[in-house]
Amino acid sequence: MSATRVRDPERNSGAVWRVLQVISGIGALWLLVPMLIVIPMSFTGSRSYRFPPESWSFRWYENIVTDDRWLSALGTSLLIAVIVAVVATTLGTAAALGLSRIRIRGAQVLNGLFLSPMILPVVIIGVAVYLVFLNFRLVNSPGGMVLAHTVLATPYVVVAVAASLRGFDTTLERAGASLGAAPLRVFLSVTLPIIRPGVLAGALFAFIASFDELVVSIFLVGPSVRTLPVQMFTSVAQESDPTVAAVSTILMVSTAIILLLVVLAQRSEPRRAP
Amino acid sequence: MPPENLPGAALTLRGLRKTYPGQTAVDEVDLDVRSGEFLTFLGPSGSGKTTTLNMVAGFVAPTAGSITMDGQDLLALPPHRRGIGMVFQNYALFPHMTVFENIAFPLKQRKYSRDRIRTEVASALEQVSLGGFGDRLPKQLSGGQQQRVAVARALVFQPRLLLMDEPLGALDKNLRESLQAEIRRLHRELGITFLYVTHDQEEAIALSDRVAVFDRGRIQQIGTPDELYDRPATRFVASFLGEANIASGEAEGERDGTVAVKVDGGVLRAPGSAAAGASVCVVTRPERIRLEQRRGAAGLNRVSGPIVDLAYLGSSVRLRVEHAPGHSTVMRAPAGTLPPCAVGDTVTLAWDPRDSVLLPDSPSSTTPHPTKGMPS
Repeated sequence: MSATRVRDPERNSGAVWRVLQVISGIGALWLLVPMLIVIPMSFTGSRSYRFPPESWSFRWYENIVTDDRWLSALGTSLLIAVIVAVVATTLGTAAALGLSRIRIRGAQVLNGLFLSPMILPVVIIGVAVYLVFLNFRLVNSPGGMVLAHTVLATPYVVVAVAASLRGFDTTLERAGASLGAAPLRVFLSVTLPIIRPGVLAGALFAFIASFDELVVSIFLVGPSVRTLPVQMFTSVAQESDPTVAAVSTILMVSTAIILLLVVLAQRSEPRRAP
Repeated sequence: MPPENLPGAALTLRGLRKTYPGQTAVDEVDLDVRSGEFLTFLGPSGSGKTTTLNMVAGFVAPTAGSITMDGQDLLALPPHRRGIGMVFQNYALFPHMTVFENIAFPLKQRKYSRDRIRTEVASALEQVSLGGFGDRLPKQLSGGQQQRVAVARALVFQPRLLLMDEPLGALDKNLRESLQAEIRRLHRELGITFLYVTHDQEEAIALSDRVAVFDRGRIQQIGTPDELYDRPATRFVASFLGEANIASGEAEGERDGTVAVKVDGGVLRAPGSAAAGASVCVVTRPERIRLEQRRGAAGLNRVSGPIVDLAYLGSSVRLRVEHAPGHSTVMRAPAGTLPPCAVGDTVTLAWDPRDSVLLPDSPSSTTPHPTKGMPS
């Protein structure tokens, strides 16, 4: 594709602008259509993945509600994702604060270290976590799953909070101290309300990172802990009935809603303290 | 508890030092701030004045030295336990809180009752003429209004010492002058000690009881604005505070308590003593110099040369005379008191040697304000 450098779209002729719009539209469709296919598939009446569906029904949605495996996997995933979001947000916010304040050589290296779970191939993390967790009896345990997901989710929080700290004026913390507030009070009353959009965004990203984690989870599942993505994966591999399309549709819609919330959280100005 | 129940705290700095790797920010500062006085730290950026203020506030830990307030060791206390008010250059208002909540903040930390907070905040807002602004957010106020809120917030918990770090630096000139008047009024009414940092010498002179001039991490001189202006102790102070003619040269000898100094374009005398051959400079304020129309009394300092610049400054006229190639002397006189003259006329400038100050000629590494230092 030819790289056209566009400095100011309004100064380009309408034709060029139109062409760019069409190209962008095609790109968006290219990314979205394969995913959107599962929506009609989830309403199929037959027990196969034939597209387009020959008949329509809600039976696969019923299946989610009635089949215990799906509901318990959903419950496990939600519970783990909420715990991971809380833990990763606490750790990630603390890490981002620390990284923004320290003035030592090697701070960049430290920063890279915190972000490494985002960069390392997930499969490698999965194998490594599996081998280590075997020794500590953390495989097939909800605690182990939370631990592993927290490692993967924390970098998202660090990135989101670091971004909101870049515009933060530390003089405000000095002002808080000069007015008689102890450091923790300053953090809760001054710093946190101001960086709240970044913290909320980080928490939502952490939630999503845990909720749709598959690769590492596959290494850690067992009879006592089974997450939704793992259930979907085995369902496709072993049963290949369209329930998974119904689950996917639900996940897509809920993820879209969560991402919308992130955008809104980042756009909203810091509101008044309660 | 305050000794003698004075409203203002007395502050003592002894041997205060702050070094950073490869750099000394504050070097052996000794200072006594008297109860209730308005003391200003004046100096160029990087001279150590803000670092010193931050050590008093508790934001910077000294490398060595002591700070005591009314005999109490301040360094043993974290910033939030020092009970010192502080106003910052960028206002530092909490953007997510209303004006009311900002000013209530220090009172909440002190667990005041809800009713008491309401009355105290209201009176603090009245004090800075911002009654009725309590519900606004900081960003809905002008810069001057924001700074008045910051002052109200720093004073509402009745500290006995107020620190101000270039509080008017971000404001335009007119606003600065009206806020200066307001700060002076607050200082008079409250009677507490003010410690003020600025790089603006006019502001320092206009506000302060005493000024401490900082350069390269040290206090060069401390005194009333008059003392600093009329009797500068170092060449740096002379050039940083107001306009000064500084002529460097070699001391030739003493007579009748004055020293003759050989400078470019002649010999100048100034009171004092110096060994013959010593490097000294003669400092003279422009308004002490007169334009000599006919030869007057003997024993005056005189320089002659062509007028190279003539500027009307409204109430006064400023005249620059090149008394030697590359060296000029500036005089200032009230408008209308000068005889007609024009650029290019050769004139003689004269002044009483007692109006000059003799100083050792120590070159300063920190460059003073570019518009203030006058070449000799």
